[in-house]
Amino acid sequence: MRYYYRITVIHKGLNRQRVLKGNSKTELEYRAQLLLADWEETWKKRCEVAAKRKAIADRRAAIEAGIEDAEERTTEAQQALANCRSILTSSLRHQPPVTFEQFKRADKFPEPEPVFKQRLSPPPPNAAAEEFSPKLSLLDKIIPPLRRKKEAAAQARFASAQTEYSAKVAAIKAENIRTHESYLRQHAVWISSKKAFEQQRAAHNAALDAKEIAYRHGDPRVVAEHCDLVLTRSEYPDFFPKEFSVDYRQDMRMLIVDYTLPDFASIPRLSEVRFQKTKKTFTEKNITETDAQRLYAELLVQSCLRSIHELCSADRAGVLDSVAFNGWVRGVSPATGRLESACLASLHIQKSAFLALNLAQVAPRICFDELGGVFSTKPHQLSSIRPIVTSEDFDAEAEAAQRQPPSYAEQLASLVDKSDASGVAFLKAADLRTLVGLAPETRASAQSSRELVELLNADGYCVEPDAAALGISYKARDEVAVFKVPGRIATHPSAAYLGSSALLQLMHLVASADGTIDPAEEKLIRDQLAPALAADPADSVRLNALSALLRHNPAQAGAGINKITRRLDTERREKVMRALVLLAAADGLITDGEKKAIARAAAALELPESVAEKIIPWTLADDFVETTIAAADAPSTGETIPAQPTSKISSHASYFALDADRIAAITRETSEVVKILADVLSEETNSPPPPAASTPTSNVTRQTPENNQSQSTNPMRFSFDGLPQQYHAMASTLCKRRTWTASDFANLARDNHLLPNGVIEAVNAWADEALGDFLLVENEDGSITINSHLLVSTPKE
Amino acid sequence: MSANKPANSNNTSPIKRRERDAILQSLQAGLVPRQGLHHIQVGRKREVEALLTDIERIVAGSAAFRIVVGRFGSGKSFFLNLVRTLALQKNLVVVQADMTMERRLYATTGEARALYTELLRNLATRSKPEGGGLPGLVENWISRISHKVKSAGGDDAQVKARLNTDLADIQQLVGGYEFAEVLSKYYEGHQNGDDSLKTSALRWLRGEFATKTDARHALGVRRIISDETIYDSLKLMAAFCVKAGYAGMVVNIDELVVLSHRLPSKRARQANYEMVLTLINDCLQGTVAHLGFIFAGTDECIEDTRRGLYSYEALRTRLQGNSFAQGGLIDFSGPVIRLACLSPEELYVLLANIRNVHASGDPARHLVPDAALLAVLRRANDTLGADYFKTPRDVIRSFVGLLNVLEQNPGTKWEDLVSGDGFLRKATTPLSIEEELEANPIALPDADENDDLATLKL
Repeated sequence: MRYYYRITVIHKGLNRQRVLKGNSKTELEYRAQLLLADWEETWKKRCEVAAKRKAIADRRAAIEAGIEDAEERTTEAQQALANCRSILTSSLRHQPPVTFEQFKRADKFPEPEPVFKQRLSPPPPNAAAEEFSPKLSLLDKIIPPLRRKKEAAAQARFASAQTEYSAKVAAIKAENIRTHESYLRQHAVWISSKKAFEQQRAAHNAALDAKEIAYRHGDPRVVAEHCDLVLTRSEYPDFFPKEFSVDYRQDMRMLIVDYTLPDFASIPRLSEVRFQKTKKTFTEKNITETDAQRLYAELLVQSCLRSIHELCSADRAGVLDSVAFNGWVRGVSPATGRLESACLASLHIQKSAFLALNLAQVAPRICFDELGGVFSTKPHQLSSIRPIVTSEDFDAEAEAAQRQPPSYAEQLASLVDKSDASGVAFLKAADLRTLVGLAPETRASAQSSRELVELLNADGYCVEPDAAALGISYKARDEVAVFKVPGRIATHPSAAYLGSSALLQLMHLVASADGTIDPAEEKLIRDQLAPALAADPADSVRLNALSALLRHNPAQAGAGINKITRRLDTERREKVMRALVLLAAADGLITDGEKKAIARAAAALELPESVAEKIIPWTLADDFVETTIAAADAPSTGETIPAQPTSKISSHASYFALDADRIAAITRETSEVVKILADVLSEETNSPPPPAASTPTSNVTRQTPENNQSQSTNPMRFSFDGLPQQYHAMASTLCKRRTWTASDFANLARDNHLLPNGVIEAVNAWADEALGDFLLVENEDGSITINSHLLVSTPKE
Repeated sequence: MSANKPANSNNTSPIKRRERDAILQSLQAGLVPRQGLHHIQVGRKREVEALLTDIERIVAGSAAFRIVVGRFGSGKSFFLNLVRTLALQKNLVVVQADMTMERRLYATTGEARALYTELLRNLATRSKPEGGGLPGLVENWISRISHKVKSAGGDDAQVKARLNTDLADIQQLVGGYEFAEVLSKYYEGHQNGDDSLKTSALRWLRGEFATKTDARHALGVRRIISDETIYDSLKLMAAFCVKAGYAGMVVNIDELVVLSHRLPSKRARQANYEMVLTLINDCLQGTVAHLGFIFAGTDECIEDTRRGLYSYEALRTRLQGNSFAQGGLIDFSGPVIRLACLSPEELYVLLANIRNVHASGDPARHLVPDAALLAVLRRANDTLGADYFKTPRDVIRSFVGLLNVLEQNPGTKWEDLVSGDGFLRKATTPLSIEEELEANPIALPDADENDDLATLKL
């Protein structure tokens, strides 16, 4: 058939093309439009689907990117927190020593040596060269005058070239001479510059050598510089200000470091970043305020220990005997709102003691406290402490040494001479106030007592008991001990001292209750305090002074004990009480006075009445293996120490004993309990349970030797009386194999319209009751093992 | 006491191997065994009878509430685990957890939900005494219905409908609708082989979803178990346990001392005590069914009038003992059961029981004579001090170690081992919050930043 009209329809998007043919043009066009519209519709739908897919993919990608970003930020945040927590341990890896050697210069002189470059003369003109040869034509060759003319011209050219050449050579020579002179000048300058450079370098290196020698000899300035280098090299997180000043006291071989630590606001807080898929936003989670405070405190303590570690480890020359570290923080005080600088951590430690520590294993705060460090109670609030040692102390000491002695110094010195204790003067508090020039007070207060102590501290004297350290007030008639502490003034007693002084006071209270302190009691007191006396020389001086006061005036032992002991927790108070009882019994007799003193101490320690009443017999019963009861020389109404209880069962001639009757009673009671429990737990006796009634199906019995033989020769069927009916079929199938894989087990359960965990639950619960153990054992890989040994059937009838 | 007849010779029944191993391994680790406790129970007949009565009450459809009180080392955790064993035997479901600062009864920042999660994670049934029994419990219930419907020719949709119908009365409880919905999802996950849906359902039941959004996304439910709803959820779970064929649920919570001596905020303490009061009231008034609560705590955490339960007046009036129960007279009808510390004689009997367990219940296989028990106790007295029997853990651990060595090294003399240097060493770190507080009361938040005697050493 022949068509008159043809139209080609093309859609580029769908990549389709069709040729339409027809006899009617309008009809053909209409058909083409329809086709095109149809393709457009399809294309539009495809575009929409693609756009949706892209949007989903973009959303997913954005979500994934968001999640990834959140994870990355979380990792960074966690790393930052981990870095804060490991300030100490991160510094324990071996570091190359800091030496002045590393700062020596080995650089070469930078300028290149000048080089003389002379110009070379050009080659002389060559007469035989073509340019100087006459170019003769045929005519020139025939006509001699022409030939002669051309030859003369060539010769003239050659002569000119020669003249030119000579001039050039002369010029070049002259230039070379000038250049050479210039070179010589430059070279001379270069030589001198290089020499100067090398001299400078040698001087620098020599200075470093001299520093090294000075360092090894303990030159204060150089030692300080060396320590500065050590601390500078130490890498900290970015928020650490890393500012510090070091001062080396050569006479005491002590390094004092004042280190600026970060403030509470600058520590990292972020712990987690989460990406919320629905809102497409990030939510940040910070550590709690309590955790932040803990982290901050830990950071400060670790920074202190780390700096001391670095300084001690880097002390190649052995010029340090001790390091005093003061951690300062500059920030806005929440109490005053002003920008303040507060000391939050202070530690003074002997280098040998510090290097003996295994810092990789210590708990930093406990280590810090044990070393006698002083730490702020609320570092996050910039609650300041008094540094143990500062450079100013020495300056003040030097100043004090140069100052005129206080007006009361002579009087105090004469009081010391008159006293029965070496180096200690005893005065009433009111007299002391008058002596130092303070106005008498009508009413004692902790504030005024503290001022008195601080005034004396400033003049180089100490007071025991120390009202500033203990927060107590001196009544006018209270007697105190005043003494001068050699060397550095202990303005802030250590935490260990506070406890030791309180114990000393309590022990004197009890020991002196019977009127005298006898040698056994003195020895016990000394033994108890020996560790404290050995720990710190300054503390030892204080304790000795306090001890002298208490021997001089035993009544002072009871002064202020309530304030000292009221914060002791219950278990430590009991231990203190036991120590006091042992002290009272040291002479073999507890007098009424000692009993009253112990009761007074117990009341001060707020022990429950029941404990206070029994502390003496408990202590004596627990702690005495041998007791000696001897009559006192003086008549006494005291309580004698009880004899040891008798024992019914004893395997040794000691006070350890068991009551056989009690054991028998407990055994009887236990048997009754076991019977009760056995009834509840349906414990089996040695005999097997009676078999169930016979049925066409076989019964389940326990495995016994009698019916064991029947297993191997007869086909077995099991039934499960007591197991819920829905599990019977599956249980039967399970018992046909020893092991089932997880998938087989699940499929079998599904086939029986059951769920696998439900099967295990029900079957094992039944088996535990009926058979005494679980029938199905879940293995680690998910497979199930059948404990078919629990099942034994009787043969089919 | 006769030298010929060994101590505790009444208990001669054989002991299951897995119970023997569980007992000895736990004791050697210094922990209370979870199984077989009846083999090493010593005395306490009246306390055991009281708890058995409670269990019977729960089985019968009522409720019970007890606080087991005693000093650290008196056997509270042991007692809780014994109750657990008995409860499991009576076809009860047991959930158990220790309270910590991160897990308590009342909170607003997830700690209460964390306690609930821990309880459900430790859900124990008779066939899963060690915990993790929630999937088995759920599937047991589903299996019963699924088998019934499909055996009658039904399909999955009908099973689902029947599951819903079976839970119709539970849906009346608070959160019951979502509870039923989640169980339905679990079945759906099982049918479709969708393990993640099943896992999500179990997570929801254990209260592990922290946000409603996550729950809606995973399961299509709009409620989650939160801090405010844990008690309702426990009641729901107890009702479900009964549906699943169990006799009820017992909730064991140890370390009650966390509430009294670890929580720094008085308000938080009071809120938790109010929750305890709610539990007591509901249980004693019979408002709840098939549910029992057993707490364990120290004397201080109950009687401390500043921090303990007695600081809450309503609790004090409910928990205070019978004034007539003094001078040897007892009354176990009240909520509080007091456990005295073990005496040396009780510890002796306990060691004899442990010896018997080690021999799998056969007296002929006892590895040491009675004299060895005495020698161990004397060594404990010398090494650990006169209070050694008040915290028997170290003695027990060393004794189990002694028996193990004797078992594996025949010919070794027990005398040499007991008198050796390595025998009887005190643990360096506390194993429980109570022990930590006993050893270091300074942990009390308001006790002492400025304790003058902090570094005292005697």
